[in-house]
Amino acid sequence: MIEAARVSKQFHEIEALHDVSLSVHKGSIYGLVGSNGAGKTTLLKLLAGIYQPDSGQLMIDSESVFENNAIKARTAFIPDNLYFFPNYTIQDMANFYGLIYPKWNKERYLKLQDVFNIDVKRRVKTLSKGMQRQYALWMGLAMMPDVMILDEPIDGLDPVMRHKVKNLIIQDVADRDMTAIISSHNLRDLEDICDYIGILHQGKMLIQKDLDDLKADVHKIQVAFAGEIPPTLLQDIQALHQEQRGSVLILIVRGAHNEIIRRMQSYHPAILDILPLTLEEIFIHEMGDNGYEIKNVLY
Amino acid sequence: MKWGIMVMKSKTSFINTGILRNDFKSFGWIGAAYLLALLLSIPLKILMMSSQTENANINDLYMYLRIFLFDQNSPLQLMLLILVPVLTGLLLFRYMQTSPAADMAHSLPIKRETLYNTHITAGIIFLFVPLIITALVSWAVIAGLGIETVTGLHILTWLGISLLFNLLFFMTSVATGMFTGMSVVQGVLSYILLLLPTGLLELLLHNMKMYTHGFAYSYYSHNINLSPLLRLTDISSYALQAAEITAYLLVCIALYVAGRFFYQRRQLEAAGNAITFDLLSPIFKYGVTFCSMLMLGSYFYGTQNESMGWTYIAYFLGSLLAYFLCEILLNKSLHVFSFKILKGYGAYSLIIIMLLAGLHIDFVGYEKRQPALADVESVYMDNSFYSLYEKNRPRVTYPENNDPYFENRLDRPMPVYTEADNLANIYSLHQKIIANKAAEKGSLFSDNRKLQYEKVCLAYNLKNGQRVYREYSITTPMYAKTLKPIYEATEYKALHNEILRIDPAKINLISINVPDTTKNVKLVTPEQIKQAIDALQKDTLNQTYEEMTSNRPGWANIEMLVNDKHSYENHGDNMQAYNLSWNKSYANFEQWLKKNGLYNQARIIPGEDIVYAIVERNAANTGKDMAKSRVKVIPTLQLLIQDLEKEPGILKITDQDQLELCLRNYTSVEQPTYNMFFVLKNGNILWGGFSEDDAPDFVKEHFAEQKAE
Repeated sequence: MIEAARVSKQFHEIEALHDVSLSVHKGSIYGLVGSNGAGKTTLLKLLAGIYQPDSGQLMIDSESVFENNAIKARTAFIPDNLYFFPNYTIQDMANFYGLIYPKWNKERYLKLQDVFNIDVKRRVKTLSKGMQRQYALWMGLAMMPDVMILDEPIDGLDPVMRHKVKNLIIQDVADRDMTAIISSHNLRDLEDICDYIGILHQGKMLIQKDLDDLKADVHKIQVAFAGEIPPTLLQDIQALHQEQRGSVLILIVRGAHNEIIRRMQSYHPAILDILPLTLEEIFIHEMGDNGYEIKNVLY
Repeated sequence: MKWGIMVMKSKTSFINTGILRNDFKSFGWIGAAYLLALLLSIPLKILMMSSQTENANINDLYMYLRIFLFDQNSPLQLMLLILVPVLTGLLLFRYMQTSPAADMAHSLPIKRETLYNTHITAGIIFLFVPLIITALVSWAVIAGLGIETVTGLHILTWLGISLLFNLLFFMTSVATGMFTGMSVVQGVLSYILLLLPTGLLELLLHNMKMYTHGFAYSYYSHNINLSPLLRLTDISSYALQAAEITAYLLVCIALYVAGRFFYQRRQLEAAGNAITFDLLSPIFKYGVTFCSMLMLGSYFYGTQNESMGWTYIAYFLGSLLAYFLCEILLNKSLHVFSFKILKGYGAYSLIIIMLLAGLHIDFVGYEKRQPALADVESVYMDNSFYSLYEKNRPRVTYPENNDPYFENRLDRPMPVYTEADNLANIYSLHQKIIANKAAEKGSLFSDNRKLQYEKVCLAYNLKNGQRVYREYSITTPMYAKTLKPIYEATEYKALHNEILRIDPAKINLISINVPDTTKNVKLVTPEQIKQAIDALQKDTLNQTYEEMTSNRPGWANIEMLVNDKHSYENHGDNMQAYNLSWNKSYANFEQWLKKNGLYNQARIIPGEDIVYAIVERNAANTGKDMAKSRVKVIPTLQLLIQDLEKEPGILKITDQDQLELCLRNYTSVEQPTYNMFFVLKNGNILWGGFSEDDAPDFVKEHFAEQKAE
């Protein structure tokens, strides 16, 4: 559905993106994580057809996005830095979008008013920051987009509002098979809604993963043996990471849940625990040597 | 609608109605405000003028027409025409210059070309509709008030020119906006671009003039007005030509295409940068540096007595300042003193130094070049190129309105010489000027130069159709011998003396008025008029160079009134007249007056009009304190004479022959050796002076004795 292939973009002497690729399947949510200045906004603006890449391709439904009205008409871009016409009310802006977006759904716009509960006669500039974000999402959803690109939509919102925003996005993805790409500088904000996560660091895509696979695949195991640790165990299991605390051995292991238990049982441990991993831990371990360096990025 | 068809045909819509409607909502006030201001400055002005004048006379009626002529009389209107289009361009394309707005506009499913066309359409509507409405309302008001001097055609012409210039200014603003990322820069750069064609040419010409002896600066400078902005302000004097209209329309199209080209290639992240295309930055930088260099150079040249040393210092300062200011603007940082940037300025300086050296050496041989005399068909020679560029750019006149504001004089013939002798004389004058280049430079700022220099403007028409233009300032006394044969030739006299072109049959009155007296002679019979003009013509043809250039005041002023019914009835007091001074060298005229018994009434006669005369040696020239120079401190001449009579050493003259001698020879030269005062019987004082050469012997002898004592 969404495809970025080897995209690079320079601003004068600064390279904002270097050889970045990503792909998002239809009906899924892609989370783009990175610290400030990692290139998230640049990548999203490229996907929205605002910027032109220096090299590489940006496609939605196998069509190049730039200057492509048909694709852009099905795409809603909600920037971090909102713009609205000076002195326009919400209703004015809705009228404007209604003229521009062919799939604009007036009923939906009116229905969503109950959800957001903001007076449409208010001028957009008089809204609080949180309300402005809701307004932007409101407009975006009323466009009935097939693709929604959201730049840090939940950063800086209170927990209730976060929840509301996430739900609205998930609902459209579920109901209409919408595809979304969401950026944040915090991995935790995204872990509960995303199907994919990509980590951008200094203009480069460090890693991208399907979260379902990750969570099912990687496990943290605590084992203790009555006697010595069987020497063949470590060779057999191929842990991503291992650590010994007293007699307890902590392993991070890739593999199917049942298979790992079965294999561990064969060594007859005194204690065997399989613990849930946080997303951060998974990424840190997945990235191997680089993992600890960018630990700060993820929190 | 025309655009509707285009939408059907092409895949890309020409305009987007949603954006257009939004432009109306957001910026419709521009059009409304423009309309209001235009209505105030035109139809309302007409109404106010008509309510002020109960019995409108011709002049006032002409005032109505002036409103539609873009002259300085309607400053508000001119200001609107210049400011509003550029401002409209700034506002409509403001969204490109701020990042969030640019992002929003370009995330919409609308192509850049469509956005561009839509905003331009909106701008044209905002500008054109108010102008059209204003023209219609003005027409209704004019018709309602019954003002006949302003016709529908005048209003239509006004409308056409206004539309054209609005479009041009608007498109300049729009196109400029595409390659800058700041609204302020867009505005400033728009006006710079509108002024640049004239400004740059003027700067180049002025700087060429500094380096090149004989460069015909004023010819090139006045001949064309390339800047549309300045052109608008002189449309009242020079009508817009069809070629200009075509050129402006082509420029509009070119600006549209250029703007579209740049928009499509613009990187949106450049919003906020002074220049949005890296390739254009050096052009901008070196262009501004060059212009600033020339400008400051010209300024110093003008204010520092044409000193080249100061000019070079100004070049250095002007270019350095502009160069680093540009770097600061382009980099948006004060840290511009890097080696790379200094190197850029170094390279620029080197090229300029080489260019200046080239100009100094005059490597194309411009200064010494003179066409071969055999190739010359005719030569234009005058002290300006005025006649030449007036011919090239016809001035607007309004004969149908009996316009008293524009002079209605006898057409001055083009000062073009064709006779072989004159060509040779002028040619040798030119040769001498070229040879004297160094000598002229030396005398350039000597004290007496300003009094005695004149301009020589030459334009050779060659047999092969080419033209060569030269312009010099010369110190006249150095060329007296060379100028004499030119001035004394009949061809020169015919060109410079109106009297030789006057048809006596058209004159119905000649009035000879003696200054400082009430003496007056009127010639009314056709016979007398013809004879008088004959005599004057003969005298003019007999004049020598010395007589032409002498400073001796004439005996009287001769005024000839034209027998032109049309002119007389309409102008009343403004009736057309030719004036001529009765020079003391005019022997034939003198004879004719004597023969007709009019002589004594036509001039001052010692016995009749003069009580006595006083001559004093000029204080300034005797080395006394300048402050004592009388002419400067006296309250009235009468008081001066009372004062003067008490002074020792003055010469008081009462002898009639001596008075006559003084009368014939005194001059109005500045800083004379002797001051000369004639006390008239009517109490008036006639004064002048003698240089050492002019003074009659008895005056010289008197003061020589004084000195001896």
